[in-house]
Amino acid sequence: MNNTLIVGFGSPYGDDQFGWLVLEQLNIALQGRKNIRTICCDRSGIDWIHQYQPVDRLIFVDAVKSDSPPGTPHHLTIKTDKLDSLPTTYSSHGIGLREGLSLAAEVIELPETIEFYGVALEQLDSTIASPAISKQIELLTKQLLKTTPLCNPV
Amino acid sequence: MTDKTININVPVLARVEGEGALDIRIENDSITDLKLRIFEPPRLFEKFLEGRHYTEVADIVTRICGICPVAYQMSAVYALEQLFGTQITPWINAMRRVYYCGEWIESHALHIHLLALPDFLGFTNAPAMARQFPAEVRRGLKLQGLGNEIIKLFGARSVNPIGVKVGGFHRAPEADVVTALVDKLRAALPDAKALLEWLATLDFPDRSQEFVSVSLQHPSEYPINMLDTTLVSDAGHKLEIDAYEDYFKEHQVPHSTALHSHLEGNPYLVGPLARLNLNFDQLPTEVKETLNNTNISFPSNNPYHNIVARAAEIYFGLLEAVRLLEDYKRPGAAAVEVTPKAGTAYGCTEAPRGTLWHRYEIDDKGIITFAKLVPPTSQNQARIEEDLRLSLEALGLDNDESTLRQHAEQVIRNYDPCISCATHFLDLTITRE
Repeated sequence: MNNTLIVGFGSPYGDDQFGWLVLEQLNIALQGRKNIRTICCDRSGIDWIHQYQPVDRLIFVDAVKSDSPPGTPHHLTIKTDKLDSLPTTYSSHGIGLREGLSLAAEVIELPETIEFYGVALEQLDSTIASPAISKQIELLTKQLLKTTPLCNPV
Repeated sequence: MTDKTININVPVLARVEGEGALDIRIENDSITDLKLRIFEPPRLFEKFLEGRHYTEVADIVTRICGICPVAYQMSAVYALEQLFGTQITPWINAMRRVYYCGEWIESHALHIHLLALPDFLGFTNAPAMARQFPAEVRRGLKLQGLGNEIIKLFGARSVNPIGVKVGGFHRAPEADVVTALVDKLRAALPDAKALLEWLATLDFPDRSQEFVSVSLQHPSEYPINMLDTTLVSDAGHKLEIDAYEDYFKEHQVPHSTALHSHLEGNPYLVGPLARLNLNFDQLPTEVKETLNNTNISFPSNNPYHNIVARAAEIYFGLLEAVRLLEDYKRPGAAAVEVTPKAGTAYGCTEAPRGTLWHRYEIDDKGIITFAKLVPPTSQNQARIEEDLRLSLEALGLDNDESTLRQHAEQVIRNYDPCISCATHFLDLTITRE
């Protein structure tokens, strides 16, 4: 058994849709594959935790603010016992991804490593993602499909 | 006599939102000056609303708060509907009550488990607490998630939801979706009861204080929305919503960008404890019986019982949502026709943190020409300062600065301030003479 959970963070605004749109594409490709679950969240703190079932692979997808040009992909793999090394970011009531993961590590069984896939965002002012971000949606979807064991349906 | 000034900097006061500081001056073992300084910039939402059509208001005010957007929407739409003479259907009123219950459940569960409870159990943060109490935290996250699911049911999403409009909702949920959610809500009732029973056993300091509680009151139900309610206090006030400004006055203080509010010149309390103090008899039997089996009596003048009141309102919110949804039938229309008219609109509902009052001036084209929004945290600020003074004196001002600072933070957090709602870091300056 090789279970995977992919959590997409996002909102309906501009490039912040990245996480949701990647999951939308994945869900089309993953039809019938029960060993891969996806969860769409509209905030990055704790909302995914109560929907979590133990998995072998946990992946988060989100748009990120960075100094890189818009559309630049970012990838980070971190050991679950090193969550303290994640940066603290400003978030509602101080509960962001790092705080949510730290809490999750105490109350649910996380895999040994956690993967993060992001893309540098450009704008949040429309309901359409920028071309540079749209391109990365396609690329990341393909990459996740390639690295996820689609050949082993449950 | 020596003048000793000690500065204590807490880089991040976690578990509250906003930016603030606390200055305390102690002379001859008594506090001679205490200021909770809020220096977060004004957000100007009232000005943003000016010039906008009444149909845009619900979608603008939902952006004021990520935790209590439903409250802002509800105070706004009830205000406008009352001015316009819009008669909403019983279904709309009931479903708005369910929608609001969702917000109470998610906001209260978040505050209890991630913000306030670590203080009561002696932990510095929620993950540290979760190490010792994993099952309890899992239960809290489950309850919070259910609250969010209710909000999504009517608002399409839990953050800044958009399902509400003047006259009703944009659409009614499908019956099969509601049925599935009701099953989950019903299954969680034992969790909510267990949470309430557990919190009531905490070892609360005896910090009874004299204060006035204020909340909405309804003749037959626990107050949430505005229809048929009056604004009451345990000092004998019973006011119509439009009389609010005759009794409650907001004023600027030099040390805060958030206005202070007084009731006839004095601080007062709004929020879960105030609601429970004034409306205990309106709670469902299950909640009353659970509370009656604890060692805590309501009305209570111990501000620490706020956390128990929040748990009681989670239990209430679940019971109420189940009651109102279990015979759900999808209506033909999710909204009624609205015809705007010029005038002054007054709205008031019970946000998770307390009474949320709105006033709008509207012209004959339905354009907002003036807006005034009075959030609960603004109303509680003077009460928080009063509580800080009393609590620190009761603790003992000869305690070291670290102890005083921790206690002050706990007192502030207990009100669940949201001054963005409030204070992201607390620089505490104590001057002793």
